[in-house]
Amino acid sequence: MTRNEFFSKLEARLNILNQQERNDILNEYASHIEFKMQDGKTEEEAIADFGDVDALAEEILSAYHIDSETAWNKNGEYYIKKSVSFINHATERLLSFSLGDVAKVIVEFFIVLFVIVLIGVPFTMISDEVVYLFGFMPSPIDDAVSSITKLALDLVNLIIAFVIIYSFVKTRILNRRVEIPADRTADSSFDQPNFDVHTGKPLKKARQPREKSGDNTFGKLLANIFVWTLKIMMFIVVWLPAVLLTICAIVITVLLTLLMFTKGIGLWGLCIIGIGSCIMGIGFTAWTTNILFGGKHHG
Amino acid sequence: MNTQFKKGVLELIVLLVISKEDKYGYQLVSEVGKIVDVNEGTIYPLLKRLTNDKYCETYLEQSAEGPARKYYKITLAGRVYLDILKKEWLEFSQTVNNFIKETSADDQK
Repeated sequence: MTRNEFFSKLEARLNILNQQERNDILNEYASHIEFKMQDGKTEEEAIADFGDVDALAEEILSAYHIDSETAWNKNGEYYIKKSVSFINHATERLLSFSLGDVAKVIVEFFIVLFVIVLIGVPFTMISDEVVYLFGFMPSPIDDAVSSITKLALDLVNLIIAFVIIYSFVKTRILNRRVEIPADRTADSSFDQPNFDVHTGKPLKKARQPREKSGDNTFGKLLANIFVWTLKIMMFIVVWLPAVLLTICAIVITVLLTLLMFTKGIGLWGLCIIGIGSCIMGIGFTAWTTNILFGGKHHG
Repeated sequence: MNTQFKKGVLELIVLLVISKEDKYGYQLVSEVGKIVDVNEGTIYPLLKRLTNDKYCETYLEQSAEGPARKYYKITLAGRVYLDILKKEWLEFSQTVNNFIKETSADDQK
């Protein structure tokens, strides 16, 4: 049997395993064959030493506690493996979080929730409009049309919310950049075969280990759109009223104080309330200003 | 030798081999092969499982000739597990040996 035949046969038998496990194993066999050939054996002999491919594959699978019968039940096993590895991955990531990271993620999560609520606002407004718009139609039709439109709007809203949460979880929790110890990095580069298992020739470019960060362009674009929607919304709904109210509070407080001192009327209570609301207003405005116009935020 | 016997002790032997010194795959396979006559191909999946179970870990080291070698190194958990396996094996083989002696003594009566 040639190397090519051996590896394609073995790979086909092991297709129940995930890509990385499979690569790891095939890689080991490939280097084993290399060593054997360095010891003076031919490729054929080295491969023959592995014995029957089917028996070997069964052996490998049994090391994963998979017997050949369950291997038939490929799909179920595959999804179970996938979900187990997802849970492992997620918990591993979660455990690698420091307290600061946890706080950051929680804060970010609340921001995400806030974005979702804000994005919901125009949808609610539009769906209210729709009821008026279709009001001129005869009785059963207007109800039907408006409820269908409402349903569609809610659906879109729901999908957007889902996409936001999904991309949040994916980029912030699962694919977060983590410090990988040097030896782990070396190991992960081995997960990708650095030579072609079928031909034994080294790959021209050693494949880089998968980028562990959550930087994907689509996610970034999405995040930017949301950040800008949020900013514009906040500007109109929160910042402008806050600024106006703060100015009003300051003006009224100043007037009250002036009134108190010039006319000698005892307005202490009102003055304290006024000063309190001024401080609150200024604080809130400063905070929102910082969020809206402050330094660059990581999307 | 009975293949079921070999399978049972293979894990113990592999752990014993790497408990002395870190080994790369081929080296390990050849060393284990000296003790039990086993299909070379079956040791790699075992190593993979030991690695997945965190009983050993791997690292790469460049070698003068050929591509980088993947070394296997026993972990603390692996040493604890090895101790358990050793104890179990000794107890088990003791019991079986005693039983063999007993039964052969019965035969001689």
